[in-house]
Amino acid sequence: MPSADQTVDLTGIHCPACGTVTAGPFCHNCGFALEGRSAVEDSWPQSGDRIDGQRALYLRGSLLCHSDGRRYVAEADDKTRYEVYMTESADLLAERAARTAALGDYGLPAAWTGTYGELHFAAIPLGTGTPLSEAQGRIIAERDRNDGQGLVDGWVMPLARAVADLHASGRIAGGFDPHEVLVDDAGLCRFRWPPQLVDMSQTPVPPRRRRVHRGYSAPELYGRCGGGVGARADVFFVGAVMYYALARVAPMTEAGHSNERLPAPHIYHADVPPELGAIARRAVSPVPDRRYADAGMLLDALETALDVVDERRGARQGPIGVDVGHELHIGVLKGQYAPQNQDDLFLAYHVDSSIGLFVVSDGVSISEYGSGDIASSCVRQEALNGWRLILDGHLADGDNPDDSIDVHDETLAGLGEPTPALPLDFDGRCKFLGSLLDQANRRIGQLVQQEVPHFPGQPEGIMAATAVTALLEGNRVTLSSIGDSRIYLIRDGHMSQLSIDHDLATQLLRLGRPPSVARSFPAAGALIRCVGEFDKDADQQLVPVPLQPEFLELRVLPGDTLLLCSDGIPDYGGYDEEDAEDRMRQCVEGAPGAPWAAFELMVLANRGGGGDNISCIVLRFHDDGRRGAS
Amino acid sequence: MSGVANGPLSLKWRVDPPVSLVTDGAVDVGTLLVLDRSALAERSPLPLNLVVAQVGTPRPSRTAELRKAFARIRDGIRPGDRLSFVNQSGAVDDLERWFEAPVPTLAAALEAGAQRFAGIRDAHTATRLAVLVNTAVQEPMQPLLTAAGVLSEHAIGVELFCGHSAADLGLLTRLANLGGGETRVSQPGRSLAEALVDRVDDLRDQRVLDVQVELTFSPIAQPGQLFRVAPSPIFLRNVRLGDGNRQLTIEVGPVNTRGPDPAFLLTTMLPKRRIGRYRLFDARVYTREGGERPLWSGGAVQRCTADPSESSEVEAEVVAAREQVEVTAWSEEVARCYAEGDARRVSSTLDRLVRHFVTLGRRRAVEQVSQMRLRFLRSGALSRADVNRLRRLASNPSLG
Repeated sequence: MPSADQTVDLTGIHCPACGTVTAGPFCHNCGFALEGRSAVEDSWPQSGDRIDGQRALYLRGSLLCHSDGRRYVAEADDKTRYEVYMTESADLLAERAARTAALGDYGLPAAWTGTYGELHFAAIPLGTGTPLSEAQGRIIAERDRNDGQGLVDGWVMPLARAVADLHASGRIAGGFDPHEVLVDDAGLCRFRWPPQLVDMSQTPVPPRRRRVHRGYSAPELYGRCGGGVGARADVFFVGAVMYYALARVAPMTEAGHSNERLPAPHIYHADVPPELGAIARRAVSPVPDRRYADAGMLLDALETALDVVDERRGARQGPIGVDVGHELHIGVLKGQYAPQNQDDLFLAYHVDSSIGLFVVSDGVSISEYGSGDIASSCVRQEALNGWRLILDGHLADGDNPDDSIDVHDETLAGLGEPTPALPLDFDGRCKFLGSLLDQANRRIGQLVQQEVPHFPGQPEGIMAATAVTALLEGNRVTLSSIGDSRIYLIRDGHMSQLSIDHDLATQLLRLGRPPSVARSFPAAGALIRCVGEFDKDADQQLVPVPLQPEFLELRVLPGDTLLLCSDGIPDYGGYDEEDAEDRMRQCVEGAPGAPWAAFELMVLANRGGGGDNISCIVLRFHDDGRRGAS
Repeated sequence: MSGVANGPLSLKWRVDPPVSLVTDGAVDVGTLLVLDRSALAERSPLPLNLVVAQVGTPRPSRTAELRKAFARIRDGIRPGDRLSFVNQSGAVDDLERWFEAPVPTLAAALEAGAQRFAGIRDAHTATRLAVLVNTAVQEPMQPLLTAAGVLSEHAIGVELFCGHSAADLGLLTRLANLGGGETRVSQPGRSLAEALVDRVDDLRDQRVLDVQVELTFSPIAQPGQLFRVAPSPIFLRNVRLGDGNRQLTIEVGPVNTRGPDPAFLLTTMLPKRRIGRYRLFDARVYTREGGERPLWSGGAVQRCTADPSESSEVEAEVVAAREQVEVTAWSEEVARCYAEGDARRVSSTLDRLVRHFVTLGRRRAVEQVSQMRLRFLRSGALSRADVNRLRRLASNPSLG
């Protein structure tokens, strides 16, 4: 029968969905079902109704029900909160009770059961826990007041322990609902609606119809990645909670895609400890085999990482041994059509003072004025000049460098014994590294202006280069990056990117665009910052723009390895970015020394195609008393 | 799902998303159609009239195996079955003579088969032409399609067994599928002769002749790609329905009780709709023996809602099937782009295939396609054998 809002005429019914005159049970144009739904007599209680039982409960709202029946939030007279699960079948109540019992300490058992007319219900005390979904909202609202490590301690660790216990008992849940996981202030995790646990021997669970939670459910729960569900789907959920706590962003739909890796959390918040960021990213890998095999392994990694974070924060400045390796290669495929290597390196280390300067620069291959190899050599040249300043002791506090310093070989001539020194504070070191890059920028402008005194074109066409820099003093490392060359920290089987790519896609991500949109944006890989940025004045003269590199300071520990490299390695080192990073990590961790590691990285990128120039510097830190750079 | 059954077959389907969110706008719906054969076992197998032709001479090492295979097939002949061998001059009784004088082209083989079947019109006998292809098939496509189309109109299915690594498997699959037939190739650990025996066993177990599934869509629905999911995944075609014709016919071919239920996946774009229930399509299942009377009829319905919690369900089986079969479309895309000289697209599609195999955990396929991509980047060339290797990897998930 047509419903009241449908107009009936002699020829048929006006379909309310598309307006076509049609007849029959479905509209012939849009398929809309024209039969009205019969009214079902509703015998279920409504919000505000009172449920009598062991205690009187007043219904305050409803919850999504995962089974036949309805769920309500209720309050007792003393404001104690309860959940009321009501169903037509007493068997379903028993089933829920059995599932809760299977969870042990992590379940919320019913305080009492009763009947409401023909219906059966269970009253479940909710305690003081907060659902993860609500906590997520608070974390985002207070994103600048929260710190990632505190959130991991408070929210992620209880959840990881609970899921690890489930896995240790040989059962998996195959994903959780963030609305149903409660964590309280005491660090206890409980499951408000008990998940259907599956014995691990029955995994992988084949694909079937199921409810998913955007941003929290692993791709295989959607049927992707082959569709078989195992313990790694639970690991994904814990990883997702951790990822959003660290990045302090809203859940991302892309988390369920099989071909979208979530961005590194430190691009949203620079204070994310690299060890924790690496664990979160591995746990939410879109490829199940790349995640931790179970929550126990994730928990172990988390506990180790939290110890390292504490150790790193508490470390005082002091000496540390460093083993250095480097490689520079044109790339086997790149060399076939571009015979000039546009990458360049600078390495210097002063053994007695434990001060070192390491730079990798990658010239931009497409430029109308000049070429990338000249731009990257400008960066190297300025690094050399900066190193001379360090050796000369010019950078000691009180002898602050600024952009007016222009060092030439002559100024160093006739100096006595070098007394290497660096500014004491972070800002001073950043200023020094920034001035190196600004000098390189200026040098590029001068070279172009020599060729073209009145610059006719667009400044975007001028040669440019990326640069990543590590300024080392004992165990204190100041890092800078501009462009899309990379700095990685490798430790304990994890590799985390410390630099932030200055490309359009990353910029869009930082502005809040979803990863799928940012990565598919036209020219998403285009550099937005690099060495080689200019404006043009009225006289057609190039005016260097002050560069805006990213800076980071880190206390390195024995066992850390820092890798500075151009994008030729991660782009060609594996089947995708994640695979490349894993292979790079294996190369570095498996090599007996830093030079060997650098060589292996070069071979890796060439085996993967070698479609770009390859350059890298490997700094491996140790405390065995050996000091100095090889 | 609802439907009326008049015979031993029925159609089941699953739609993803099962409930659509109205705020999502246009939605890409995946439908997995599965032919339910549970009532088919009660029927007895139909007689088989099998004609075998051969294009080109097989490798000597393969001939001995094929002789054994044909001996096995002959041994399995039941009363009512017919097995005959043809070459260009007509039927050949002696298998040795048949091996020595193959048909030179595939078009000639199809023609020889058509002549052999001329005048036979038995509505209760399965008529199949099996062709062993031992050449690279460098023939123009259109005459082949026409010849296969004529055979299909006369209810003669074509089964192709490809023994040449450089034959165009895409074309052969298309030819065979016109009449619901199969293209079989040798696989690692499984020779062409074994594939032949296996397929003939399938044909011998046939319980229903030439099944067709007919889907009728509403004007707002735009079907996209059609794949076969089971018994083995292949890309069938891009569907384009005109305004006047809203029907899509899927040739299921011979249906037996062996192996998995025949399954097909169809993608459909639907515009933004308001809250309510919508008929996605009407479906009918026909067979040759049933004539105009459908064996089964019914219709699929999808619901649209504005409540995100209601729309959070997924039909994971449909998504999983979709991920499995999409690689078959991409391997055809590689072949098409290579033929058109679009190197950039060949490279990017190979890259996409590699990543897709990575997510499916198919490590051997990852390695092989990755090596193929590297070779293409370095040399700018792909061989037809490479393209066929891609197709085999795509259509056989058990290959690593």
